Amino acid sequence: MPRKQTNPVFLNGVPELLILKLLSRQPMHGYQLVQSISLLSGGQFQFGEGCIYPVLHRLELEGALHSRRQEVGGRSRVVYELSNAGKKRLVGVISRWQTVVESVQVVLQGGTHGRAELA
Amino acid sequence: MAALNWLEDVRAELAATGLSRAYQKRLLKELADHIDDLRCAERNHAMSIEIADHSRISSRLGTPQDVASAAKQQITRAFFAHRHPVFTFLVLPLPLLAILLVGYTLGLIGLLSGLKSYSDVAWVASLAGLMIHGLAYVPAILLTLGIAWIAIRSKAKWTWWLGAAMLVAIISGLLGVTYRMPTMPGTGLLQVGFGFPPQLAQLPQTVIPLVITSLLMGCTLLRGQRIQDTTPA
Repeated sequence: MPRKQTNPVFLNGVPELLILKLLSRQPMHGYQLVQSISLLSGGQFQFGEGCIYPVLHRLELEGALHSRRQEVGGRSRVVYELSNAGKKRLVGVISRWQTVVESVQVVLQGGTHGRAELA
Repeated sequence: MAALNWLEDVRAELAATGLSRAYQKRLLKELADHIDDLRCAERNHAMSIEIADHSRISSRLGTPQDVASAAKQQITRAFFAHRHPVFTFLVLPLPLLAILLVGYTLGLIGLLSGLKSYSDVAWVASLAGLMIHGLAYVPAILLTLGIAWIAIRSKAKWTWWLGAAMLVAIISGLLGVTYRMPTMPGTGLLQVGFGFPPQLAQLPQTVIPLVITSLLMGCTLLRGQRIQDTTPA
């Protein structure tokens, strides 16, 4: 069975960041979110599209999202939107992500911190 | 047909996770909506036969195993008990038992005050005695059931569940309740306290929470086994 090659384990947490960021712009249903992630990332993030729903459900259980069933394009869909707690969470997630990116950049550029001292 | 088969496979995989039926139903409905959207996109953009067969659906949405595994992982992660097992199963039972004991005692006092005028009626006296005896059992049994509910819902490891049940059983076994029904106003007595070593008569207070936990654990394990046995490989 041909299986989609997914991104490595260390990208755990990225779907949450992308979902929160995209939903901060506008409420969306699952398929719209998947399409937006694919479109905006230029197809860089490969994941089983069905696996986005458990992430959405967890975020909803944790209070970061609200959901409601509503008509979208003549069909009934579960639409997710960011809650106030979700907005605060997004700020924290972005901040943590930027710290990680900056740290990796420092390492890639051969940063001066943490250089092993030889006795 | 391929979509239906894929959804059926997801349904079977989800059943084996032990997640609630309501949640399974919700996830399956949203996956079905997603497949509808994919079909619609195919029609609108004359896309290829992207979702025409089971393997292509798995390639796009993930295999049924992947989806079920993601659901189990994400949903259990959302539970406080799953993230903080030490607090939930080893710390929280103590204040909860104290609250239940105080609540039961206050309720008992209120009820007995209401029955005061009927204290000479034999069945009222028996009922009052039974309710006082219940102080040694009811709060511990309620807490044992509550712990079981949390453990089952959050898919906690059985060791945490058993640890909490043993904690409740030990404390419950140390609880001593003595009482004397009043023969005239002001002569009644109700004493509640913890003492060590426990009397032999207090043994059931330790045994009952453990028996309840063992039975519920057994049922949960059997249910999980039965679901796995009926899930196609």
